[in-house]
Amino acid sequence: MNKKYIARMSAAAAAAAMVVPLAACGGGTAAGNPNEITIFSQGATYEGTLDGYVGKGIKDATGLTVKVTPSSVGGTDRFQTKLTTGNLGDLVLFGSRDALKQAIDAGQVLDLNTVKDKLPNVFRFKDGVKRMEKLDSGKVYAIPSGVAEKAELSKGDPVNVPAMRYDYYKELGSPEIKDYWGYKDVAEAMAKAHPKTEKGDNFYALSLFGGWDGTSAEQIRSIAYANGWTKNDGINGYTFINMDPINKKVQDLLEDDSLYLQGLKWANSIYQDGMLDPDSATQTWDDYLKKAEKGQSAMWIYGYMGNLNFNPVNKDLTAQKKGYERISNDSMNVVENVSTIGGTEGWFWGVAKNAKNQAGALKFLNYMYGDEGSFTFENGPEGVLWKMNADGKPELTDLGKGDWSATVPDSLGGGHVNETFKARVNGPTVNVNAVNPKYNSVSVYNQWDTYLTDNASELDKEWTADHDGALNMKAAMVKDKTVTAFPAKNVSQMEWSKEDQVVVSQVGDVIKQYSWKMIYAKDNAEFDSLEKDMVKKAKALGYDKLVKFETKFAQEYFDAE
Amino acid sequence: MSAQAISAVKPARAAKPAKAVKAKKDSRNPMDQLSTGEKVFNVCNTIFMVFMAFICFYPFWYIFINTISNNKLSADGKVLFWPQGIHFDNYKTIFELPGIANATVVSVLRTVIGTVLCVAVSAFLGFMMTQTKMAHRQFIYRFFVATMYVNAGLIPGYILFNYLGLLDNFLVYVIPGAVSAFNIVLVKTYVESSIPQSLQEAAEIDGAGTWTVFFKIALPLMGPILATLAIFSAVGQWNSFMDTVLYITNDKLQTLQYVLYRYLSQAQAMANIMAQNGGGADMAATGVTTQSIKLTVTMVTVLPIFIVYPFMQKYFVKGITIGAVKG
Amino acid sequence: MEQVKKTPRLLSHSWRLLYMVLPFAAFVLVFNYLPLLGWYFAFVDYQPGVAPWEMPFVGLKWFQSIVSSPEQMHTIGRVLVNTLGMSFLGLACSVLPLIFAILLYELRSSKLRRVVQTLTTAPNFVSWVLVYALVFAFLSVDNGVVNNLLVDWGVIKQPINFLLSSDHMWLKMTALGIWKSIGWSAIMYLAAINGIDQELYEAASIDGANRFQRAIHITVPGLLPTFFVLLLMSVANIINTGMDQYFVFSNAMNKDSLEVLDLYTYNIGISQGNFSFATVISILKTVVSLALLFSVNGISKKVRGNSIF
Repeated sequence: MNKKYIARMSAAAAAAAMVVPLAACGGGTAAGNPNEITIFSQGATYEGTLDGYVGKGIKDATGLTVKVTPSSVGGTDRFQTKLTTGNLGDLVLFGSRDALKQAIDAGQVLDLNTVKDKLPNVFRFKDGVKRMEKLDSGKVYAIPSGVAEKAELSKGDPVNVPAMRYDYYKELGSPEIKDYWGYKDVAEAMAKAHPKTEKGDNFYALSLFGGWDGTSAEQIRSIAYANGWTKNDGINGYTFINMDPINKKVQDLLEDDSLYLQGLKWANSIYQDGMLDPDSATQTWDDYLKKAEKGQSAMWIYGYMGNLNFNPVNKDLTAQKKGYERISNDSMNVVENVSTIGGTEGWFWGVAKNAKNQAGALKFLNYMYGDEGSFTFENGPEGVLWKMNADGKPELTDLGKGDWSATVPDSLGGGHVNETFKARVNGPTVNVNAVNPKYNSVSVYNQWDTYLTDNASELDKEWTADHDGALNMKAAMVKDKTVTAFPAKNVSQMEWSKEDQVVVSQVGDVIKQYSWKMIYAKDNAEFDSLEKDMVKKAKALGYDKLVKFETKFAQEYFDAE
Repeated sequence: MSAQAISAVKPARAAKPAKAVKAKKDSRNPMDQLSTGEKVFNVCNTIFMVFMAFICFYPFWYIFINTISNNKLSADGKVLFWPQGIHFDNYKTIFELPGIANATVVSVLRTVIGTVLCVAVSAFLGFMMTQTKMAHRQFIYRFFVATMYVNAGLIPGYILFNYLGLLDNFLVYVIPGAVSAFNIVLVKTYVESSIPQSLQEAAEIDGAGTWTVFFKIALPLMGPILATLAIFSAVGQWNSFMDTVLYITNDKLQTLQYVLYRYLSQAQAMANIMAQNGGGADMAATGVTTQSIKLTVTMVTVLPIFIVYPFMQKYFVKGITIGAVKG
Repeated sequence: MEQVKKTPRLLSHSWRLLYMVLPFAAFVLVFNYLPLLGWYFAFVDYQPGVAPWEMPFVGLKWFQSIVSSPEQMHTIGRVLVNTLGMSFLGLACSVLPLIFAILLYELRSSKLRRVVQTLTTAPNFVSWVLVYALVFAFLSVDNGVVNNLLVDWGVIKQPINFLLSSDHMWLKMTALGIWKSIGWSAIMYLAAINGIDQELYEAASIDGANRFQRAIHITVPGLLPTFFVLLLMSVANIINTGMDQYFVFSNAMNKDSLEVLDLYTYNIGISQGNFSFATVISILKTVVSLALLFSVNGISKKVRGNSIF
């Protein structure tokens, strides 16, 4: 027995010894291939070669095969370890200014100024380049994602115009909604009249989701974004303040009578009426999406939960003019950042200093910042999911209109419809809402007129008829002037010190936790005492200092031209 | 003294030629009639155990039936006890993932090699730690034990592996975990409590060296504990996933877990894009959802364990009888 | 005995035994102790890809940042209470796998024994994320199976929000932990039971001991060494609870009684990629664990007469 055991063990060890060099060889072949580049992406979940119709499109245009390495897999991020050994591939999509800065400090990104002649498409975005030069004393270590030559309003619906059951709304006689808080009465009336959905599930006035909350109850905070406030000036995202870029005002979350505190009160009053989905604080995103598809809330704070998630899976109902549509209110006021300098997501494209294939990386980057390359980001190469119609406008092909998981014929390159560059790599090069001069259209297909017309259900048509022919909420808002553009300006990048970052998380933790407790407060007395506690605790941890720090940057934005 | 110990063992050895295995069963079924108390105990114990098996296994069953049921019913929470609208598209999707065959081979190899290595090292070191004659034994033992609690964090380990050439190397799966303090402690405890010192002393008087004692006396008696360590180590290796993320970029060396988790994150990202853009078409009854992928991934990783584990159990039921050892 | 006198001390049998394990000690030195040089990162502002001596030295800044305000001390105090509370509950329950193993071993049908042994390990393989998904499916208010049944049967009028309420949080978490691990932890005791010399049982039977007496006088003492060793190791681990379980179950309502040290440090430091701060936590945890290990070992020496390590 023991001899056998040893024999087996040594056999296994021998097998191991044989496997190792073999396996180690396998990867070596890729190094230095002039027709292959590797993108290290902080925005990707896909790993491997870009194949299928997207890979074919890139190969046809640039002669390159593109491999993608995602920074994080299954919740483990390897950006810092890769940086430690200088192994960032050829092209890097940075997910934040902080990550870019770490790479600059480690000396691992190329100054693009030194290869300017190879990147005409990148350097035509002068504002974006200027922004980078300002950040890093004249060097261009990366180019922001989402740059544009001209700043324009997008055609997409603002997230924060709520969606409600449009048929129920009409049933109630299309009541006028004075301001955001007015949605409550309408939603509650709907839930009272219809305690169950068509399929027998519970129907609440409001269902919330908090699983992704960082430093506040995000959905409640976002109510302010339907009232003329924003948390992002185009360069800097703020944590504890909202800003009004038009009237140059700042409101911090915890100041007396702030919209945030009013929002908590509003949500709590729905809870006290017994009309709030009791699982709001505990459900996961999957559960929440499922509720959207079942239509279990009269109102969705993030409007797309209704018209983009319930409607497509309930075509039987939308054909009967039943389902969700965006519903505005009399005080609706959305400010939208229009930007030439990109980077509202804080994403940047850079080239690794020790790239194995620098020439290929530059070639690809230049292509993706060109008119053709940037347009393929969302929808892939022309002729597969979309084509230009007789009017010179892009429209979806049958393949593009169909099921997202459908396979693409091999003649077009193969793969699946949903394997776009956006889905696999992420990091739009040129702003997807900018009108592309070559195709005379934005690149996001669901904002194309052809799409909005072709795709309209009976319900959508009714809504359009009720809104003077507007194809979507955004079009109606532009007409009503309830959406205002504000430009991103070349202001300083806000960077927390590491110590302050710890305080930010601590304060944010307190605000987030108390906010949800307040939403679930039994009565007003409990609500008030929780509010008092929240403010006291946050301030004890250093809230005021953080607000002051952020306000300084907001002020710089207001003062800048 | 040692002579006495030997004589204590010897008669038993002589008395039992080959009945060692049977002897155990006998000891569990004494000849005498069961008392009422024992009968009651047996019934209660059986009921309790069946109950435990149910509450432990039901969730797993729930996952399983949901992976083979109509995904739409499953998403609505309608599949509770029996599969409905059986289909295998979820599994088909997983088994058609690119690179999954290679990843499975890597996973199996790392599990087999890593387990053999770890168990062999643990058996040896655990045994050595029982050798009271060893100089500075206590210091060495504590030196090993403390590794369970010292923690340098991610980056220093990464830098070390880089120096040692372990990055993008299969060995990174099996080498760093080869010496496991936890296992050493378990083996040592087992040897001390189950293998009488007298056996070793007797053998040494017969002229056996440490190696002989280890291979001829200790190792054959360690069956149950080594089987335990093998299970622990194999499951750890099989489920391990962080090391691939951090230390491997070569896609030939990716493990099954890695490929599955990456696919899961991809599917979730895709679902989010769809949520914000409108997915378009109605979901087919067999169309995979993130939930169905999550459940299927669990099944794919756990099923092999469940299939192999019962075979490991035969090393458990063979209770040892010291007297039966031919040493 | 005479042999030993003739050979020099460093070549004696006892030293030769040491040499047999030295290669492994060297291995551990490289893989487990050498990286501890990285503790230096706790005293600098860590920058990846930069030589350690070029990182700005900041002394104890990161250590101080843990206790910089009274509010923070208060939070840490609460977090520690949770950590220790749930750990002690866990320790108190650590005898359950042992009992389970004995009961399992007492099953008369070996087929049933094997089946139960296999099935009870199942929860160990279900990730906490999935456990939460299942618990939510069963206990949610909106459509939870259990709530629906209880309401249908008239046991309760209103569905109970099990997941939201912070009542008995420690007990709930401990119970879930036991459910998930009992079958798996029992494996070690099953191995130990099998290591007990069968002749002891036979001898006891002949002496007229019944099953219960045999279990108490033979099985239990046979398992105690394993039990104590495991207990000791988990005592040293009381602040290392891991965070997965608490992360998935935490929400605003129950967080005060559920946030443990590992989750707290994740929430405020590591999720931001603040490696210096993370190192501070590693250092503190290592020190606490080792101190606990050796003091409990000392206690064991005094009380039970022999030290375990």
